[in-house]
Amino acid sequence: MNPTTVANPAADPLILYGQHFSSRLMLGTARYPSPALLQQAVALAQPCMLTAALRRQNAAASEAGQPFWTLLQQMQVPLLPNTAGCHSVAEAIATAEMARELYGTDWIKLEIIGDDYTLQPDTLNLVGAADQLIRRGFKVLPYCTEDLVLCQRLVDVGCQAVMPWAAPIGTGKGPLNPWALRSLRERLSVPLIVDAGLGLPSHACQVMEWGFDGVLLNTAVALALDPVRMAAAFAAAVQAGRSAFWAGAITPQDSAQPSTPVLGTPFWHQA
Amino acid sequence: MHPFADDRPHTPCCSAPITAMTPPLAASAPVTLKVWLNQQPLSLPAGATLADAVAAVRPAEPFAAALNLQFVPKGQYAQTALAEGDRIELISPVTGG
Repeated sequence: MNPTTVANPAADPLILYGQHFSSRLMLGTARYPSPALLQQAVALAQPCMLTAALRRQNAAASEAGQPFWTLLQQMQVPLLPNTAGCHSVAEAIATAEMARELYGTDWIKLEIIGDDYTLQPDTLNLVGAADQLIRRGFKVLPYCTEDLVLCQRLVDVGCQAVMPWAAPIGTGKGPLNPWALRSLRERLSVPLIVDAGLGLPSHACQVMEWGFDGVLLNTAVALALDPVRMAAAFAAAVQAGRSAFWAGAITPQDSAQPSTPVLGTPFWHQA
Repeated sequence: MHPFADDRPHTPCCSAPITAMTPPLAASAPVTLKVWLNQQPLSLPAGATLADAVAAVRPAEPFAAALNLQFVPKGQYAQTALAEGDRIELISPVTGG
């Protein structure tokens, strides 16, 4: 990869299911202080996709129904509906089918929750659900743990990208298991997007330096004191991490290495 | 509230309150069919279809529907007969992560 490409995100696109995206940042749409701040954050960060969900109608909520639908249309960013809150394969499939009709997209962020306290994905049912959804024509982006074998099985059934968590949803702890995430990157060649658990732009930069292909954020931006500024900070961090990945980092050394040439040093002395 | 949530423990990521779309409907014809729509009881005439249930509550667009955990495309509402105790979910867009 040449320096021109590294400096130009459009020349280093994120490719998911054959579709090219110039941004490697995905943003959630929940928990912002106001719809206006969500809109401003999206305008500044320019994410490749926005996630959204489905719920029973609640006429009183400004973050649901027609007002939210209108906002999504105004922002003109590709949508990634999710199956958040589903606890079984049947629920996930029905929710995905409803999302496809409602949002008019085959993309689905597959979530099957196995534990309500940690929101840990149900890894035993995830593969089967992904398999069925892919057979029904969905472009599945599964939210999963960093377990290598699980991710490999998801790829085996046709997932062309996988989205391991860094930490439980909304915790902002950053990568809890760097070794497993880096192993995953070394072992799998499909796009890997870190989804959930990031809290700081440095977390996003870190996983991008490791070679991950993108990040999906919500809480870290939406609940920041200034969500708009934080969205921009994350966008910059993702780009910086991607550039660093292509640039190739040095190998850490145990001993000091003078960066200034030693030859010709005045007042040279023998230690 | 997640469309398929029933008696589960509280899920931290799902904070929207349970809200019925309208009060239970009193149909003019003899009531012989009782279904559940978004976990609220709804009485309909015998032979009612999903289209009748949707018309009874007039949900705001856009929405999608499932019957007994099976997605029903919009074009099939009128052909989808309801049975006693059926569980209908009508869902709308909402923010998500």
